[in-house]
Amino acid sequence: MKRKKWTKPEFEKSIRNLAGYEVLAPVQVDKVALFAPVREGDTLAFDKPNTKASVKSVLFPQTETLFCYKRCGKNMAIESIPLDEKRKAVFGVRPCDAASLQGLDSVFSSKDYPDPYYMKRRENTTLAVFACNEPEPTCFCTSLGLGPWSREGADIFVYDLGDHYLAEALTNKGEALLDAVGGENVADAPSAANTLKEAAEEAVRKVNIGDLPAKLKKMFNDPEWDSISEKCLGCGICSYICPTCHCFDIQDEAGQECGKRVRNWDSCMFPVFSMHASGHNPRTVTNQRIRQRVMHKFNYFVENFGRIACVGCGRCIQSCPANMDIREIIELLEAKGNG
Amino acid sequence: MSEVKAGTTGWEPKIVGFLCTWCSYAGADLAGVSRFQYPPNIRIIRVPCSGRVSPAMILKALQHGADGVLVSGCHPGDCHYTSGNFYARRKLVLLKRLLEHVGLEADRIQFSWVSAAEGEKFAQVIRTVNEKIQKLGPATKFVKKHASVAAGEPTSR
Amino acid sequence: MSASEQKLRETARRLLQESKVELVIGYENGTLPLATRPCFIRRAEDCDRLVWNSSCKANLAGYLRNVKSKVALVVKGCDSLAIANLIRERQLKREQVYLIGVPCDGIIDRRSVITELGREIESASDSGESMTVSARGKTKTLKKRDFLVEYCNNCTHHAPEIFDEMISDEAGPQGEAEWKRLKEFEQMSPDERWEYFTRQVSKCIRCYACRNVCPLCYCKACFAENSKPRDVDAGVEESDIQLFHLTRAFHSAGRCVGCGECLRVCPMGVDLSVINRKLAADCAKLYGDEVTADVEKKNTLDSFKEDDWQEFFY
Repeated sequence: MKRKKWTKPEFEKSIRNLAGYEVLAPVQVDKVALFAPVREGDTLAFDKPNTKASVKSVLFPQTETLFCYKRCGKNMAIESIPLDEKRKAVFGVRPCDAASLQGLDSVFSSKDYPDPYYMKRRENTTLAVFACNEPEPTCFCTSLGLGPWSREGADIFVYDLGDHYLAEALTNKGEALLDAVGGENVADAPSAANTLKEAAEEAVRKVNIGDLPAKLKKMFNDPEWDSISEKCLGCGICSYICPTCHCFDIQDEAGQECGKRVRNWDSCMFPVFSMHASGHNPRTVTNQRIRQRVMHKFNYFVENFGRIACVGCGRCIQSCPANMDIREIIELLEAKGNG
Repeated sequence: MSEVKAGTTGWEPKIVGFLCTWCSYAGADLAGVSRFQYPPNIRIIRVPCSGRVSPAMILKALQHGADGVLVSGCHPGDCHYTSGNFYARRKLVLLKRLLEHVGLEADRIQFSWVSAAEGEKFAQVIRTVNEKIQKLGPATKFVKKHASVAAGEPTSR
Repeated sequence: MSASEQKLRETARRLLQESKVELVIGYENGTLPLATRPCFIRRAEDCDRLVWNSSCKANLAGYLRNVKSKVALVVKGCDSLAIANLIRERQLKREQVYLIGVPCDGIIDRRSVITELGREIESASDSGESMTVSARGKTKTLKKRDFLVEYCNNCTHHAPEIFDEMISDEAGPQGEAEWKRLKEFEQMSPDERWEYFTRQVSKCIRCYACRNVCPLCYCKACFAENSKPRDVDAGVEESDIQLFHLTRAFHSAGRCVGCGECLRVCPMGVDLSVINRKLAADCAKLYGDEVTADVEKKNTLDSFKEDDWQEFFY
C-alpha cells in the first residue's frame, strides 16, 4: 500500500501548489470553517474541529444552473451547461462526511434517473479523509456503525500524528493523488494508530439507536411528535448543514428573452416545501415536518437504501438555534416505541 | 429645450420610472403632448400611487439591469389617496440612505414630486436624472449574473 | 438555584394551579453547556424545569404565533418590546399574555465562547460575573461581560417595560445606546463598505433562521418564498442574497427591537447589524422614533408627518 508522510507545514505547502487538481480544504471564513477551493491567502482549518457545513456542497452545490434558454423567433433555444468535469482533490474530509457521500450516491446514482451533475463531479473528485482524533461532545458517529477512524468512502486515509501527517492510498484515485502531492515514502502504518483510534472511539458519546428504524414504522401517529417539535423555528439550518440531506427545488429564473433553469437546495422544514400547486399542503404544522425529517432519516431511507441517513456528525445539534437535539429525539422515540 | 446628447461611449442608461397614475404619469403625458423633449432612456411603469412602490420593486429593477430608478408621485398634500405619498416619502428616504450606507451608488435612485400640470418639470426631471446616471456609468455592483447561452455572449433582457 | 429562578417557578406554578393561564412558555436547560431552550409547560408539576440564567437568550415572543389560549411568557427587556410591537400591530391582544418579567444583565453568546476555546464547549459552570468553561482538557475562566451577545452590550432596556409581574428588581447597568461599530462602518469609503456588506452576506445559506427567529416576522407568506410575483429568486447567487437581506431589513425598519436574535442564530455569522442598526439609527434621527413599549404609538413606516425630511426629492 502506498504511504507518504509530511510535516504539517510541508503538507500544506504541497497541497497549495498541487498541479492538475482543484484543491479544496476546510477554509476559515471569519469565525467558521467551510469546504472551499483553496485560494492564496486563505487560512486552512485542518487542526480545527469539523467544518460548519458539510462537504456535500463540493459535489452538490447549493445553487447550480442546469441549462439556459433563449428566445429564437417563436421558439426557445435550449443550451446545456457543460457538466463540471474539473478534477478535484478534497482534503480534510472527516469520516462522517465521507460516509455521508455514500448515502448521496444512493440517491443520485439511481438506475432510472442518474443525476449527471452530481455523478460527473463524483467521478472526478478524490477524497483525502482525515482520521478524527478529537471528536466533539456532539459527535455520535459510533452509534451509527461509523467511527472517527472509519475508512468508508476514503480514497486516501490520513493520520494526524501531532506534528506530521501520514497518508495511505486506499484506491486508484487515491494513489494518483498521493503521487501528485509527493512526500516521503513510508512502509508501515503508524505504530500509534491503534492507541489513537481507541482513544477517539472512546471519546465519542453513545446514543442508543437500538431498534429505532423498525419501531418508527408504527410511530407515525405518536403524540410525542407534538412535544418534540414545539420549539422548532422551522428554519433550514439543520437540513442545509447536514451531510446527508439532499432535497432540492428546481426553478426557472425567467426573463422575457432568456432564462435559466436552476436547482437549489430545499428543506422539508419550510412549509412551502410540501405545498402543492393547488394550494393544498399536506404538512401544515411543524410536528408533521419534524416527523417527516426524523422518519426520512431513520426509517424511509433505511427501507429504500439500506442505511440510516445520519452520520452522527452533530452539526445540527451545534447549530440549531432552539437546541433541538437529534440524540434526544432518537432516544426518546426508541424508548417509547414497541418493536 | 435642451438637446438629448448620445453618450460618447455608445452606452445609454436604462432608467425605470415608477410614476403615480394621478399626478406624475399625467405630468409625463402632458410633457409628451406639449412636445417637451427629454431623453428616451426612461421606461415608465404606471402605479396607482407612489405609496405602492416598495423597496423590493426598486431593488429588483436595479438587480435586473436598470442603471437607475425614478419614483415620482403627487406633491405632499395632494395625493389622490390622501396620504400614500407621505408613506412613500419615508420609505424612499430610508431606502436611499440604506443603499448609500452599504456602498451602492445611491444616486441611481431618484425621487420627484411632479403634478399633472407639470409637464415641463417632468421633462426637466428626466433630463437631470439621466445626466446623473450617465455620470455614474452602467450599473455593475448589484446586478444579477445570468449564465450566458454561449461562452462570452451576454444575455439580453 | 437563584432567588429569581425560585420565584419564577413559584409564579408559573401558581398561574397554572389557579388556571390563570393554560401554558407557560419559558426557558429550560438545554443539552449543551451554556445552552437553554424554550420550554412549554402545561402542568404545575413541570414548573421545576424552568430556569433563569445568563444563557436565556431566545426571544420567546416568537412562539406566540399559533397560540390560541391564554399564555404566560417569560420576558426580558428586549422580549417585552417585541410583545409591545406585536400588540401595536394587532397580532396579539394584551389580555392574551401574562408577562412574567425578568431583569437581564446580558446574555452569554455561546459562539464567542466556542471561538475562545477553539471548539464546542464540553462543560461549563456559572459563578456570578464569571464562568469556567472547558474543552479537551483546556479550562478557562472568563468574565461574562466579555462574552455577551453583541446587542446586549448596547442594550438600554435591561428591565421589561411591559409586564404583569416581575420576579426581581435587580437589573444591571444599561449598555451604551450608540453603536460604535456603526460609526466605524460609516467612516469607511463606499467601496470598502460594499466590500464588507457583500462579503458578509455572501456567507448566507438562505436558511431563513434570521427571519424565523424574529418575533416580528410573522407574515404567513414571506416575500422571499413567493412565486407570483417572484420578488427574489431562491438560491445563493450573490445579488439574490443581497436583495433578500436588504428587503428584510427594510421590512423590519422602525419595528426591530434590537434583541439581536437574528445575529445569534445565524450559523454562518453573517453580520446583519450593519444594515439593521443603520435603519434603526435613521428612524431615530429623521423621525424621532426610538424603540418603545408604548402600544398606541405607530411605527415609523406606519406613520408620517407633513414636514418629514425630503431633501432627496426634486
